[in-house]
Amino acid sequence: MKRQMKRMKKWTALFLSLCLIGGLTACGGNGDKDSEGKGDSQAEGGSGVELVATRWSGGQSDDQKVLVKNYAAATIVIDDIAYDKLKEKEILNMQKNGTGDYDLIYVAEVWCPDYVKNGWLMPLNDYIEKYDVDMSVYNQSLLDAMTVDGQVYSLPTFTQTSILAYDEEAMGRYGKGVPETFDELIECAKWFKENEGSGIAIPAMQGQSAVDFFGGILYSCGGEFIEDGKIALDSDAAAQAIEIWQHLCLYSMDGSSTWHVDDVAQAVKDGNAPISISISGNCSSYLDPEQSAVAETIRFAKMPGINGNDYVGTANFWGWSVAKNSANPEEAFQSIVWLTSEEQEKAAALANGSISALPALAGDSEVLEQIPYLPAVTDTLAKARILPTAGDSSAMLTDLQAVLSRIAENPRGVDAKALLKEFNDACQDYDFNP
Amino acid sequence: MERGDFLPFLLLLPVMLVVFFVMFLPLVYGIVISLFDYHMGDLDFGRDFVGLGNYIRMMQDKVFWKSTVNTLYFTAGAIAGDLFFGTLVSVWIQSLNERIRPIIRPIVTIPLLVSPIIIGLIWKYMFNINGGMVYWILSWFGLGAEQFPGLAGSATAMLCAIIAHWWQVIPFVVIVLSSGLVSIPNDYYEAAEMDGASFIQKFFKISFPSLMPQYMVILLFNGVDAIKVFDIIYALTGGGPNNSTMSLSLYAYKNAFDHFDMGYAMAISNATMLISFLVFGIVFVRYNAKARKEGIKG
Repeated sequence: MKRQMKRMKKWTALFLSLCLIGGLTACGGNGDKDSEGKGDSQAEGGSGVELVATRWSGGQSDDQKVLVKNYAAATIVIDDIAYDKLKEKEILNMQKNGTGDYDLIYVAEVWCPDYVKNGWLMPLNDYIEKYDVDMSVYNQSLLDAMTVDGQVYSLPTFTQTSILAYDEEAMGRYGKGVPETFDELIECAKWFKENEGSGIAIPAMQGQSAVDFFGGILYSCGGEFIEDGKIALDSDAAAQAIEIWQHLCLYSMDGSSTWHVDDVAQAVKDGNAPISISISGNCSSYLDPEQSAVAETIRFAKMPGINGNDYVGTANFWGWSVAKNSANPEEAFQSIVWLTSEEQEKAAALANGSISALPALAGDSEVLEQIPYLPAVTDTLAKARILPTAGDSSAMLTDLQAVLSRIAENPRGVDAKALLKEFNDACQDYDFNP
Repeated sequence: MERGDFLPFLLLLPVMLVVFFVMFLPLVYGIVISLFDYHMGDLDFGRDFVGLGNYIRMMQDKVFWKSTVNTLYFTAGAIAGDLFFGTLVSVWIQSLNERIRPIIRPIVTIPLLVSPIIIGLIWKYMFNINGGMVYWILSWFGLGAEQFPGLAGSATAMLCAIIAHWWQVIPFVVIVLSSGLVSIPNDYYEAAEMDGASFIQKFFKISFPSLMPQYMVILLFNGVDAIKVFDIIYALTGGGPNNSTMSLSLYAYKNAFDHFDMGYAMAISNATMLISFLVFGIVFVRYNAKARKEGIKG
């Protein structure tokens, strides 16, 4: 009996050892198989290549999935991801040694410097030269933002900025014209707050939207976040900007301090917001009668000016890039040229009202008919700038979110100028050099 | 076990490997990374080693301390409500007619099936000052955003997150406590009734002491879960207003994926783990030791 038991133990031990060895071999084998698979697809080339593109999900992405079916040189698969998870997913994939899952990367202008610094994006100059791509079709200032040390890393596509969206009927009750200066805007917001209990809808939640909007006000006042590599929010212009922010918060709709741009859009579509600072990317939904209670009466205008000057907004735009670890960089480059071509950009604009970064489309009559807010966007974008990205800018702007949020939460009870001064002093150790 | 008999080790090996690769290795990796100024994708072991630099920076970081206080506040509020309301609902369900009980119990547990991020979004609409259900109900009593700013107020935003957490987690507490209540022999209650004990007396003298093992399980599971809170707050407030709902996990996430500052994010995560152990681990170990001493199975 004891001998039988011993034999059974031996067999069980042998069986388990084999299972373990088999399991470990299978794990190792998967990696080889993967790399073989990628190698095969690279060798096939031409129409046999499958390119995976990542971008944020939503209506525009759904339309793009349909449009890319027309691309004949390769199969483009759009892997769309919720906006708030996109950056994380892109980074994790671009970090992969060997080949990543993504060939085409959708890059926001503020992410570009970090991506380039980490060597995750493919420089495009050689391909531009090889395929003789006409770069004059792209907006030069947007292209500059995606260029590092003379190398282009991304081809600009979709752009958006803040514009004024208002209900024409509500403005009729107000009885004055559409605000053309920030003083008039504050007066208008005050009237709605005091007479109708509403106010202006602004994205004042602690987050990037609030900083984007404040950045526009700051630039318009003639201020800067950073000067000579140091924080510069102790200027008179910055003090004026924070005062404007405080007044807008004071006469904003109840709940605005918890609103992101999408919440502002919802307030407009529900017919609750007589006037709003809206992001242009959301404006097409305002015109859809199925989504919007104000589809017939909603109107758009460029952002008001400050100190007799035009508004200098913050442009938010996206470009298509090629991942450095793409197995098919050349095919990926050709596909992003196709994606950002006038024909494709126009198709996207007509499909969902997205605003292209190609200047030529701003004057296209068909596009203008489809996107009535395009002139407001074009006017606002004319002088638009981007937020600082160098050095510790990202950390500084995140800290600023809390300051703006504190003012938005209790605009009547805080000394906004003192808070900004305090913030400026706290940021002295930040290094903003590239 | 005979000498040279490797079968027990072989039987344990798969589990040991899983524990090593899934638990031990990531933990060590996290601790090691926290000693580097590691910005995602850019690590040079010689250049980026900062020793305890990230921890020193953390000690001087006001937002970290605010996040710690917020997290402890959230945990205390969440646990207190979970136990209090969970007990109330469990006792109420237990007191129901035996035909109604099986119908009510699954209905009460529905929120358990919803993901925390969706719960955050549901409650964001509930707390919407313009027409949200909470403000609709408050308006019956003449109250509004001025009296209760909800998500818009520093003082009330965390309370809103705690309420959303209660809604999600209380069903779990009900399930655990109900199983405990069912296992208490009915004779105890009958004997107490014969002695003239009131409902409250029966609860505090019989139910409550008998439910201690279940309370400890809830305290450990929900407590650790609450200290790690992320999803609900992320969806409800994003950490605002003015960092008043910034939790440690959310702050670590923002450092990791907004600033790519993985080393610092890891240091914050390790601190969260330590706090979690100090708050709940020690309590649980002591309770187990006491229970073992008294012969109670925990």
